[in-house]
Amino acid sequence: MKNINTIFRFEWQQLVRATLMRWLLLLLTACSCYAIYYGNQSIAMQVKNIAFLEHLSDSTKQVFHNYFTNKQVADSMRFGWADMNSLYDGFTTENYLENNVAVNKPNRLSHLSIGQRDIYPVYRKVTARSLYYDGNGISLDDKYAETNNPHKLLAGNFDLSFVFLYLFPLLIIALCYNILSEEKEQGTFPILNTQPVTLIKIVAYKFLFKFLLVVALVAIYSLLGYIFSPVKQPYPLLSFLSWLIILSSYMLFWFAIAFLIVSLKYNSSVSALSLVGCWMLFLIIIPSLINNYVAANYKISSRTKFVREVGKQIGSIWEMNDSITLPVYYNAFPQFAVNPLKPLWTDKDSYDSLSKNEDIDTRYNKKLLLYHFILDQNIKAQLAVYNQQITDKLIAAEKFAWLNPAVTTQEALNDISASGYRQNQQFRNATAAYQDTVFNTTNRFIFGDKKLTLDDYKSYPPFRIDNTSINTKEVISAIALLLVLSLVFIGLGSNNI
Amino acid sequence: MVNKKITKMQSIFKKEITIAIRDKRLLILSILILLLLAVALFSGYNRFAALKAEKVELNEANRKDWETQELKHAHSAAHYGTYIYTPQPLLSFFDFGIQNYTGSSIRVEAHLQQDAQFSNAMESSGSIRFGNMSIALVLQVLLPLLLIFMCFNAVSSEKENSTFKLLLIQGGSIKEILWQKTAAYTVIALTILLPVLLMSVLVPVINGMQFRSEVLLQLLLLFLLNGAFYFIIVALSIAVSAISNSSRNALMVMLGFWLVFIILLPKYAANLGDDLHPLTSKKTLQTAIAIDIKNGVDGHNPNDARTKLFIDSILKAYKVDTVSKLPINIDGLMMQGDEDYKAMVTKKNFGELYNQIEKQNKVTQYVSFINPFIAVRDLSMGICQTDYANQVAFEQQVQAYRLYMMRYLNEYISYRTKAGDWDTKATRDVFTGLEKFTYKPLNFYQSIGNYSLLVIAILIWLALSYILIEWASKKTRII
Repeated sequence: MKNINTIFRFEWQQLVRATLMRWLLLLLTACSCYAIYYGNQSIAMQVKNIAFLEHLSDSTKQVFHNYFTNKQVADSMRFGWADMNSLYDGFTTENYLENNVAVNKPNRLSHLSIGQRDIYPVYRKVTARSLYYDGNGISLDDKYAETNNPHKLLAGNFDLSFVFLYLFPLLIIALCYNILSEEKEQGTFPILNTQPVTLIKIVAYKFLFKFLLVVALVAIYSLLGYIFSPVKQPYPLLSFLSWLIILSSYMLFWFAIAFLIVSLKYNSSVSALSLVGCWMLFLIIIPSLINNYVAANYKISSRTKFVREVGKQIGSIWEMNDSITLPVYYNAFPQFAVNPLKPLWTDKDSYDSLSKNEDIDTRYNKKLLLYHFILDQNIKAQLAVYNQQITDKLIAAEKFAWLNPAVTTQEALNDISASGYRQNQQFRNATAAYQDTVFNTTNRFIFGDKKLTLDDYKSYPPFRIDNTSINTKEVISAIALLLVLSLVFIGLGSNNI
Repeated sequence: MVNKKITKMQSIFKKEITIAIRDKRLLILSILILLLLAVALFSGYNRFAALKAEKVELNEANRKDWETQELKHAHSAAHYGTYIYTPQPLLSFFDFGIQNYTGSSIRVEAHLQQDAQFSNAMESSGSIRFGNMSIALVLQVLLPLLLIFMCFNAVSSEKENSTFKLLLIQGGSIKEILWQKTAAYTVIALTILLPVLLMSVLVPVINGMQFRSEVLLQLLLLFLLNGAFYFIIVALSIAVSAISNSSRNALMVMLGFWLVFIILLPKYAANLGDDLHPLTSKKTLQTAIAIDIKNGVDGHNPNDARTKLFIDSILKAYKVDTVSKLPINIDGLMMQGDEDYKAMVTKKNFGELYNQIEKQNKVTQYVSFINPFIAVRDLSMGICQTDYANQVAFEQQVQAYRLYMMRYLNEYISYRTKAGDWDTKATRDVFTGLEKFTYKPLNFYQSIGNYSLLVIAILIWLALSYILIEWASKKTRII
């Protein structure tokens, strides 16, 4: 215990007195504070945009509520079709849902690890229509993505995860590169050997001190980030703890590398250069080579094939005879089946009488909903292929995880901050499920021939997604990977000392 | 005598090169860099070739889809629309630029002007933010670090080993020694650079690519650009090495420069631009466009006041009093009026967005006056035609084509079909008669024209490097 005290006190004095260290710590603090500020700004912008979307949705819905309660509606908010009768009509829900969106809100830590949040869409319009043909043409995720400056996307985000991933390893290198060589170069190495404590213990204590220091910095900056968040929603302690544990494991990984290099007992310059080389290897060379591999194996045509399929279906489904399409629908919704089958729409029906004839209007609504149902049925196979291709591409880099600790760490942080691809996949799935719910609700009114009431509108299902839950399996496997790599390096290093 | 002095001084030049070659660690690092360059070249070229082939194929398939589509009403065909894929410039294998982050295709259809969609980043995990291994990455990020490793102790170690005095005794001045060393390491950098550029000519030629003479000019400029960059780095390293009191300090300072110039400042500059000129969100723009359009003609709704004015003007032009007496189909004209109006409104709103992005990028360009790396990175993209200006040029040409296509179909409806007839199908020749889209790439001067600031920045940095060596030679103490 006494030894550890002495070494810790000595290391602390060394740290405080070294000019280089002071500058480095100052630079790191400045970078961390800026990173928190920057992340805060970008996510605050996203929060503002989401508030605007919600405002649009709310005001559209409010207009409906006002119609029902006969309140005054400003002219600018009036709809062209708005005569009172159409309010009760099943497909009016489409107008009610005009600005209805499924939103992937940022969570309390999103600004610390922005991940792909600036690229993936944060919202999608959801109505009873097909997600892929939403009344405004064919729509894939891209349509809802923010327009960005591609040069900025290329430069990347200066968020706290960048500081932790790129800059902290440099601090670790600066702290450790000369742990042994310095003693040799100063001529104090023989004195160390004469101590009653073994050399390996002294080295271990030195590393332990530095590791604790770095972990303390990680905790302090993360806590600062947590406090200065544009999202004030409470956040589960467990998720925040996993954030800290992942980062500590990542730091441990770098200490392990430093330990391995130090154990080789090169002189200071060679150790420093080798460590900078490792930094290049793990942060630039390996990730970019793996990205090349991923890029070489995947094509852009997956989307094209899907989009062409949707395009083809859009053109032909309306012309399809109801005697072909209706049975498919009745098969899925037997409760609405009509026997014998009655066509919904014939050539004799005219669009012009839609607003005048309630019967035609009802049949047209059914035809339209049926159209989107059949469209979703017909594109299902190609959609599955398309989704599979996206998934394949997304996970293509995963098989190199053991070689690629920096990216693995980044993805784990992105998971926690709801800004990575796994969380985006969850959002996509939740959106698809939500669209199902909306379709079924609208369907109940249209094919169930029910008039809508104000209460029906009010109780229309909203979109929900839990953006604070973490994928335990992914987090644990990232931590395990970092720990195993660290142990391997430490094991190799101890053999050398 | 003079000649003798020159040969003596040249021997410093030779000595530096010999030392660099004999240093095993440096040799291994150089070989590693060359290996990475080879990997970058071949994977970059394969990626370029695959993307190019795929895009050409897709463009042809889309055109074929258009020409052989089921016969339908011309307006239905306008809705059916098509997709146009971005060009793949040859030198994208050298510098991929922003291509991961820009849409690879634009949908062309009635009523709606879509922006470029289907970017690679949209379907990628966070890994993509770590970058691709490209020749540009090796040349701009890794090679400078190697040069720093080579040069940081070029002068300081002479002082530490007390060989500096020996050099001076042999008749050179400090200034000459520094210049000889700068020249030696610049030459080493160029010997790594030259084969890369030669291979960049050879690989496409071997693969049977058609080679425009412009490409040779582009490669020459890339050589000059990167060469200038290496001279700046070497001069900076030598000057720092000369005035530092130890090799270790010189290394720390140079690594600090590398970190700040190549890793920190580019990110900061891009963010600063975003801070100063924040972009309006897409939804806000779309809402603004929708409000603007509400005041305009609506293609499917002839009840609007604006539509009435439009109809009246047509009636007046044909000197008739009702629509039914018109010799043409007014539906087509109305839809075209709507297209023109929407195009105008969209251009107004999204044009502002483009301006904001240009302003953001200008901020980055100003930062290049304190950071030569930014100038090199952006100029390299500009030369390779993988920058924002080229993407914008493509998008604008596609939007112009969309307007042409809609006018073509709407005029067909106006003059060849009857009013109110939404059922009669257009004949095949209507679809095949539509001209194909051909992209006219920005010519070289247009591409580079956006970057005059950066060229000035590089020239200033070259002058600064010269001054730095001169200054350092006065500051160097002979101990």
